[in-house]
Amino acid sequence: MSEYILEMKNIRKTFLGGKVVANDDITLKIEKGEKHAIVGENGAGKSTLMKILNGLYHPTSGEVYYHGKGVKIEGPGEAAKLGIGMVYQHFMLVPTLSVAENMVLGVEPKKGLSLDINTAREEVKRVSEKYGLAIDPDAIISDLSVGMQQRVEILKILFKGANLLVFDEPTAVLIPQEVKELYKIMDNLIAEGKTIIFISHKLQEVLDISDNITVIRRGKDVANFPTEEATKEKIANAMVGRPVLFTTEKPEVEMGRELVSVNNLLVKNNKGIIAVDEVNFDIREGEILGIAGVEGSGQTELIEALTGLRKAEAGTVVLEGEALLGKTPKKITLEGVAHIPEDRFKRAAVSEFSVRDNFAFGVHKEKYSKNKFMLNFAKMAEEAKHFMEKYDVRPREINVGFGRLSGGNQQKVIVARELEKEHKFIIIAQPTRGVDIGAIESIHKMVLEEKEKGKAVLVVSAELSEIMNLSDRIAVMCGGKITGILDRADATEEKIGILMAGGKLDEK
Amino acid sequence: MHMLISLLMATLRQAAPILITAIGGMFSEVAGVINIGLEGMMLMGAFSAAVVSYYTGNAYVGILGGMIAGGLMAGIHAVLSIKYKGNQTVSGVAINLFASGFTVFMLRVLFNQSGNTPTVPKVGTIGNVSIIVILIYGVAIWSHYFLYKTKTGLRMRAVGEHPLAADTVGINVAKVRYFSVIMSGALAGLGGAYLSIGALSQFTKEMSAGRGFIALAALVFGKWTPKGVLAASLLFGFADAGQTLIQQYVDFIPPQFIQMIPYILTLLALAGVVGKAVAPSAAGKPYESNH
Amino acid sequence: MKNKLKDMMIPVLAVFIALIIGAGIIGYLGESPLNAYYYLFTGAFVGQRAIARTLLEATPMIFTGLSVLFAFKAGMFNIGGQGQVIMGGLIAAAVGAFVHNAGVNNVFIILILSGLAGFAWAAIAGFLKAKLGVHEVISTIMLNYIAMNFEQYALNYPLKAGGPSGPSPQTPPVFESARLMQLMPQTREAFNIGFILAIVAVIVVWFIMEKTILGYEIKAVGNNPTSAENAGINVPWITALSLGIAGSLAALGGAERILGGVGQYTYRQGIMASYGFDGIAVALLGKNHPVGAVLSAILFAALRVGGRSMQFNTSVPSQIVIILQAIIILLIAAENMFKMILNRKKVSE
Repeated sequence: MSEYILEMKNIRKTFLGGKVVANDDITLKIEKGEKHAIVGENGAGKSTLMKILNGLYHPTSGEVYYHGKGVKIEGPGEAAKLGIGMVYQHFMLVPTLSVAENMVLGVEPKKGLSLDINTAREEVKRVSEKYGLAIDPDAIISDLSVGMQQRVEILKILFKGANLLVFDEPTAVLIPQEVKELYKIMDNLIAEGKTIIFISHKLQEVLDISDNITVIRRGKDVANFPTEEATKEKIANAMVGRPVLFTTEKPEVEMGRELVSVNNLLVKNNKGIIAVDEVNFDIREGEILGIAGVEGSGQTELIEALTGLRKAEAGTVVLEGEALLGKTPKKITLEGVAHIPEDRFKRAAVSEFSVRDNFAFGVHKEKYSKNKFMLNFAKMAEEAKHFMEKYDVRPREINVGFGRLSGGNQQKVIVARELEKEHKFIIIAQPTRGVDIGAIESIHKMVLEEKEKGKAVLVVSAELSEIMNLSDRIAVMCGGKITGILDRADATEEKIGILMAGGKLDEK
Repeated sequence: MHMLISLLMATLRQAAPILITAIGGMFSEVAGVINIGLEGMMLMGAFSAAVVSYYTGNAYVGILGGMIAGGLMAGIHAVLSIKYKGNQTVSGVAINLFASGFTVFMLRVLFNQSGNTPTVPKVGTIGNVSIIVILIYGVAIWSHYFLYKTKTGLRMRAVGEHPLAADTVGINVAKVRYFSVIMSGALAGLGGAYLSIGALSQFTKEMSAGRGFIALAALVFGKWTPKGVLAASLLFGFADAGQTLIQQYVDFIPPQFIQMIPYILTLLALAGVVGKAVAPSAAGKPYESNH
Repeated sequence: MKNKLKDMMIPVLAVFIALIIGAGIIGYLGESPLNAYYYLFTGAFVGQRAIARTLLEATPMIFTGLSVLFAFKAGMFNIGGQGQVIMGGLIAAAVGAFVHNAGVNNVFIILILSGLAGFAWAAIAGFLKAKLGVHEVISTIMLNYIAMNFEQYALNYPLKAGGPSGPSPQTPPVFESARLMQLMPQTREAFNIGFILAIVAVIVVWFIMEKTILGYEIKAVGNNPTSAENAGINVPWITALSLGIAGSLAALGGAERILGGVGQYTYRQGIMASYGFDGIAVALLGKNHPVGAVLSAILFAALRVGGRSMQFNTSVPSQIVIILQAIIILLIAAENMFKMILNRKKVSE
C-alpha cells in the first residue's frame, strides 16, 4: 500500500492536436497529511496539471493513482466523489447568489418540485461548525470580503467530502491578516487528517509553510525536494533554469525638487462610495514612490483620477505648477504624464492592431499625422522598427498582430511607447503582472532608468517584494486612505503589513 | 368608471404578447444568451399558429403550433450561439430577417396571398378575455417561482453569471442554455399565437410590428426579473391601449404620432434606466467547456 | 493571405448552398430549377435593360451596406438603416418638390441636406449610446418604427401632392434642378448617376478607414473602447460621430430613390422597400469590406430583378428570392460553424 495519497505518473497534456504541449511527462507524488507546494512560472503548466487532477482536463497520456488505485477523473463531479477538491485563485462563486445556493449548486436538495433551500442552509451550518469556519448561509457572495469568499470556497469542497485540497495561489488576493488566518485554517485541516497541495509563486510563503516542493518548468517536473533543504535561490534557479537576481542594483541618484504634489484628493468609485479618501503625497525628481496595498484599496481610482479618466470630487494635483485635475486624458498626457496601465491587453493596447500601430497608439495625432487628417504610416513603421531594437521586442516584426506577442513582449511594447513620450511624471501599475521571472529583471531596469533620468515615478503594485525592490519611499493604502509613508530604509514587510490592514505603527 | 375598466382590460390585452415574449427573453438572457431574434420567433409563432389552426380547424392545436415554431427558430439560434459560439446578435438579426422572408413566402405558396391569410379558427374567451391571455399571465406568475425556487432556475441563474463556476460543480452549461433559449422561443411563439389567433383570427404580414423589440426593452427596463418585466410590460401595454383611446378623443393630432408613442416611450425608458440596469454578467459571451 | 482566401470562401459557399436549397424548393413546386434559374440569370444580367435594372436596384443597398459596415468598424450594429433611409428620402422630397429657391433646390445641396438628416437621425442613437450606454440595437430599431410612422404622416399630410385631401399618399415630383442625371437613358429604367455616387462613397469609406486618423481612432474604439479612452481618444464623440456618418450614408441611399426617378421623382408609399434591412445582409455577406458590400449588393439586386423575370416566365413566385436571401443570412451567421467544420477536418488529418 503506497504511502502516497496521490500519484500522477508521466502525465502528458497537449492541445490543438499536439501543437501545444502544456504538460510533458510530469510525475507528481503527494504524501498523506503533507503540505506540498507546486512552484513554477506563468505558463509552466502547473494550472493545467491541477485541472487534470480536478477533472476539467483529461490527460493525453499518463496515469493517476489515488490511494494506490488507478483512477480516471472524468470531471469535477468524479473528482469530488474521490475526495479531491480545488480552491481556485479566481473564485468559482456566483456573486449574485447566496452562500447556501453556491454550496449546493450542482447537488441541489429537492422538496417535491422545489429547491429545498432550508436543507441547504442546515448543511452550510453543519459544515461550518465542524471545521470552525463561521459563515452566514444567506449572505450574498458579492457582499462578502475576499477572505470570507475564500472561506466559502473552502467550505464548498469540505461539504462535498474533500480529503485532498488543492489551493491555487491562495494568498494572492488576501491582506496579511487574512493570510495568517488562512495558514491557521490549513494547519487545522492537516490536523483533521487532510492533505494539501498549493500552487504559489511567492517563494517566501513556500519556504514558510510547505513540507515538500515540486518545481515545474516548461511542462516538465524539474525538481522535487523537501522544504528543509530549500532556499529561495535554489527554487528560483529551478523555475527559470539559470541563476536569478533578486534585487536589482539601485542607482544612486540625487533627488531634485518636488515635481508632483497631491493634496486632499477625494475620489468616488462607480457605486458612489469614496474610494480615495483625502490622500496626500508628493514625488520629487528622480524619486520612485511605491504604493503598496491589497487590490481594491483605492489604487485604481487614484490612478484614474491622476490620468483624467475619472473625475475627482475634491483636492488638487499639481505637476510642476500645472493643475491636472479636471483636464482630459489627452491634455494631461500633453502636460507630461505617461501611464502604463495595469491590464495592458484590456486598457493599453488594441489587440487587432499591428505592433506598429500599437507603438503609435495614444500619440498618433501628435507624432504621426501628415496633415490634419491623415497618418504618416512610413514614419510609424520606421520608428516602430527602431523601438523594437531599442527595447528588445521579439519577434522583430512590426506588422504582426499585437495579440500574437508573448505577455512579456507585449508589456515591453507598452513600456516603450510610454517611456518614449515626452514626460516628467510616469505612473506604472502592476508592471510585471503576467510577466515571466526572466523578463521581470529587464522591466525593473527600465523603471530604474526613469529614476536616473530625473523623472517622478509612481509605482503601484500588489507584489510587496517589487515595491520594496524599486521604491525610495513606500506609501501604503488601505480603505482609500494612505495609512503611512515610509522611507525604504525604515520599511519592513511587517510594518507594511500592519499599515495595509489599517493599523498604526507605534510612534517611538 | 366604465371607461377605466375597458382601459384596464385593454392594457392587459395589449401587454400580454409583450409580457410573454419578454419573459422568454428573460430566461434566455438570465442563462447568458442574448436573444435579439424574439421578434422573428414571435412572427413565426403568429404565422404557424394561424396556419396550423387553418389546417386542423382547431385553434388550440394552433397555439401548440405557434409555440413549436418559436421553439424551432430558437433552436437554430441556440445551436449557432452555443454549439458554434457565433455572434449572438448577428444570429438574432438573421433569424428576424429569415422569419420576415419566410412568412411572406409561405403566404404566397400556401394561400397565394401577399398580405394576409384567410380567416382561421380563433381561440375562445372567458368573460371577454382570450384564453391565451389568461395562459400568458399564468405563465408570467409561474416564472417567478420557477426562476427563484427550483433547481433548474438556480442553475440558469448560475450559468448566466459565472458559467465556469457552474461547470466546475458538474453542471452542463450547454444543456441549461439550450433549454433556456428554446423555452424563450416557445414563449415568444405563444405571444405570436395570441396576435394571430387570440386577438384576431388571421395572420397579417409583419404583424408583430416591433413587439419583439419592445419586449427586449421591457426586459432591460424590468432589470431581468419577472416582477420588473411584468411592470414594464404593463406600462408598454398601457401606452398601446391608451393610444386607441387617445385617438378617439383627440382628433387634431394625426394618428401616426399617437402610434409612435410606444416606441418613443421605449427610447425614454432605455435612456432613463441605463446606468442602474445590470445585465447577467456572462450574457453574450460564448462558453468554452474543455471536457 | 491564406486566411483571406478562406474568408472569401464562406460567402461564396453560403450563396451556393442557398441556390441549391432554392433549386430544391422550385423542384418541389413542380418547376424545373434550371429553367427557373435561367430566367433568373438572364433577367438580371442579359441585355442593357437588365443590367440597368440590376445596378439601379443595387444602388441604395450599396449605401445601406456601407452604413452597416461603417458602424461595425466602430463596434456598433446599425439596425436603423431603414429609418435613416426614410429620413434621407423625406428631406429630398420635401426640399426637391416644395422649395422654390433655386439656390437651395439643386441636387448637390439636397444630397447634403439628406445626408445631414440621416446623420442627425442616427446621432440620436449615437448620443444615447455615448452618453447613456443605451444599446444601439434597440434604440435604432425604435427609431425605425418612429420614422416609419413619420413617413406615413408626411405622405398623408404636409408633403402630400394636392394636400391632405389629395388622391394618393405621395409627394409631387421634385423639380428638374433636383434630379440626378440619368445613365443609359435609352433603357428608360431610371438608372442614374446615383450608382456612381455609391461607388465614390465606397472609395471614400475605404480611404477614411485605412488612411486617416479618424479611421484609426474608429477602429480602436471598435476594438477596445477602454484602451481608446486611456489613449486620450474621445470615445463618446467617436461613437456618436461614427453612428452619425453611418446614418448619413444610408440616407443618401434614400435620397437616390427620390432624386433618381425610380418613382417618377416622387416619394410614394413603399418606395423605400426594405433597403435598410437589406444593408445588414449586404454588409454581413460582404464580410464588412467595402468591395464585398458592392458585390453583395449587386448579388441581392440581381436576385430581386431576376426574380421578377423568373415569375413572369415561369410560375415560381418571386418571393422565393426572399427565402434565398434569408438562407444566405442564416448561413453567414453560422459562419463559425463552417470554420469549425473545416478546422475539425484538419485536426483529424
